[in-house]
Amino acid sequence: MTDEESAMPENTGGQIVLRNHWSVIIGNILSAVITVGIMLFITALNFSEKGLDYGERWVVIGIILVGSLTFIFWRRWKLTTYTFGDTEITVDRDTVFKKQIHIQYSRLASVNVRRSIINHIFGTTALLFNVNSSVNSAQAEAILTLKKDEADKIREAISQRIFQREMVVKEEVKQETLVEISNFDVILHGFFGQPSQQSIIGLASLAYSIWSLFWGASGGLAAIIIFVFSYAYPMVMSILRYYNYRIYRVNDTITVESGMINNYRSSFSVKKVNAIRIRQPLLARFMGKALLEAEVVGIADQQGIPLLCPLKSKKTVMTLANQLIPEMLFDVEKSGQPSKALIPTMANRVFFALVLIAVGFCFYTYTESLADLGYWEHLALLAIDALLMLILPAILVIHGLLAHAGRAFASSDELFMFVIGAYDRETDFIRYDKVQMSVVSSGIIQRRFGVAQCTISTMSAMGAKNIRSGVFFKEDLDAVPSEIMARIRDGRYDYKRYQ
Amino acid sequence: MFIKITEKESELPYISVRISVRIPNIRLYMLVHQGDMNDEFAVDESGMTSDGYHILDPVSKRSMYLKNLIVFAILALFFGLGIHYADIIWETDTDLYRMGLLAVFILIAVYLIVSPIVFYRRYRYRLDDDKVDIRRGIITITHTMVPIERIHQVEVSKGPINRMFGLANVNITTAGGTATLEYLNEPVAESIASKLNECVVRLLKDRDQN
Repeated sequence: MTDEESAMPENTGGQIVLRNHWSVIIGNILSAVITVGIMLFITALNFSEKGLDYGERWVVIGIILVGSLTFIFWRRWKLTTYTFGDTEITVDRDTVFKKQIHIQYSRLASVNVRRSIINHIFGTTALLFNVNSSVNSAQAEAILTLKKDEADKIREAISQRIFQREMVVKEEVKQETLVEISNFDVILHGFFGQPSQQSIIGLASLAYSIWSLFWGASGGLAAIIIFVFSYAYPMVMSILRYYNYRIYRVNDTITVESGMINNYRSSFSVKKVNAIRIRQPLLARFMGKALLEAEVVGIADQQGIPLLCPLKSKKTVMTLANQLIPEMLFDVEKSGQPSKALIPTMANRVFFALVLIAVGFCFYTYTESLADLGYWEHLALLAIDALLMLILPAILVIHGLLAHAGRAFASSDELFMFVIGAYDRETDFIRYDKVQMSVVSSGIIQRRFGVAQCTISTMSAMGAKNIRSGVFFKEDLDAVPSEIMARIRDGRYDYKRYQ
Repeated sequence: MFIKITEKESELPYISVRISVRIPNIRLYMLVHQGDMNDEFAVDESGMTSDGYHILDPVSKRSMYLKNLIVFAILALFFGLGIHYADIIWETDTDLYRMGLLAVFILIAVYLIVSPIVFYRRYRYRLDDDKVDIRRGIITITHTMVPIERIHQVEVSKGPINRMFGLANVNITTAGGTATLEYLNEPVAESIASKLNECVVRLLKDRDQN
């Protein structure tokens, strides 16, 4: 099979018909060999523990399985075509299940690039076609692998349609990054960029698994699994994903490049940005650092929403935001929560703190009645008592105080801003025109003080997202839905602006 | 056990729901007073608020009560089993646990009895040319606003209990989530859904022409 026949471009009445490069089959076979190998190894171990040793028969089973899968991969490759028409891309697959996907160019949010090890070996590039939809946001609508120069041409042609300008690949390569991100920054981002609760769960699980290893307590394996999935895996993937980070803007197109093993290049128009977020997890706040993210529908991948800046000093992040995406910022005359919001903010936390203290007290009286406890068991029970009666209530109360002190709300002609969070803090700048639905709510205590909270629903990179404000006077928050409607009524909202 | 609920319609918008629970030798009076209700929920003779919000058909309360009755029966079974078998579950002095379970059960039961009335009293909706407004809530009052311009899909759904009372829900889907107009009369629900669909189709046609 030659490279020439691999992509098989055909010109059918002005339409270009392409097929994936044959190296896709190699990539699929390698994945299948690894998956089947692990599955058979685990099964063989289980069988041998029960005294059933099938020896080489496992290898035969493996070969048959991989052989069958290879035939399926080859057939799928042969019978899948990508037709580039005047208005849309059509993906046809005529295997056991017949499938036809129509992707209109006007619906495309971006065409991203991914280069894995297999791509590097065979000199190919995978093009990821992302649709402007919240339903299938974390997964590309179609992936087409071609020889690199051929992929560059296709990407240029489609980018020209999406971004209304010629996006020359050579031009991208020359661009200087707007912010210097060292790989040490990326590693710091991996460690401290995750939400604090995720880090705490992960590190607590690690601590417990170490403790169980030394003292023979049960649940050590479960704890290590929790640690791996909640902390270690996201951290490693984040470092691999954002290594060699570069970001730049050409006219209205922002491009992010990164990757240690696989290389990624994502481009999107600033018009497609629904909101930007400056996020500061607790430990990052102590270090005076922040990170910048953008909500762009159709751009998410397994790593989450597009990252515009890994953890850097807050000043650097703000400078970058002003250079990169000034459309999403405004001079903030922000107002914090009013003093009348203090009691409503604290009430439920104080209530739950008291419930925890009561539960802790009951637990304490119960455990005191238990006899024949060893020294370590007694110590563990005391730790639980302290957690229930002291630590958790204190965390709740401090959470309330920090939330009251930190939350803010501000608005401008086109945008509004919520500062939310207590330990971790985030500042969201949101376009009025991108709000899908708004809910202003006030509980019993909030009504007594004339305050409320506003929840807005918007399309996000990962699907739909709700963002909830702090506690402010109801009439101030009612201005959000009023402004959304006012912009629709007087024509300031124009859907064409965002196409 | 005797439970009596009194509503005083004439005192709107200041509603008092008086619940009298009489168990032999124990008499409990509960007054669920909604004195903090604003004028936004007050309705005139035409059955609408001063700013044009509609109220639900009173039959909606029956549907809610029937649903709550089913929930009550299921909870009663579980709590009953919990109280009866407290000795086996906790293997210790069980009176405290029995009392705790009973207290939680009574709280839930009171909520199930009171919530349909409060829900009905506080449910108001309005359909404008460019938006859908819903005010609702039992403990927390919410005001939901959906611009028609953002609507993707409108759907009328009828569950078995709502069907018994000729009621239906209208689910309004946007790209950011779903809002629901609940317990509407079937013809009202169909008419709202059809009006919203017309608006959405008109909007899309206008865009195509432009």
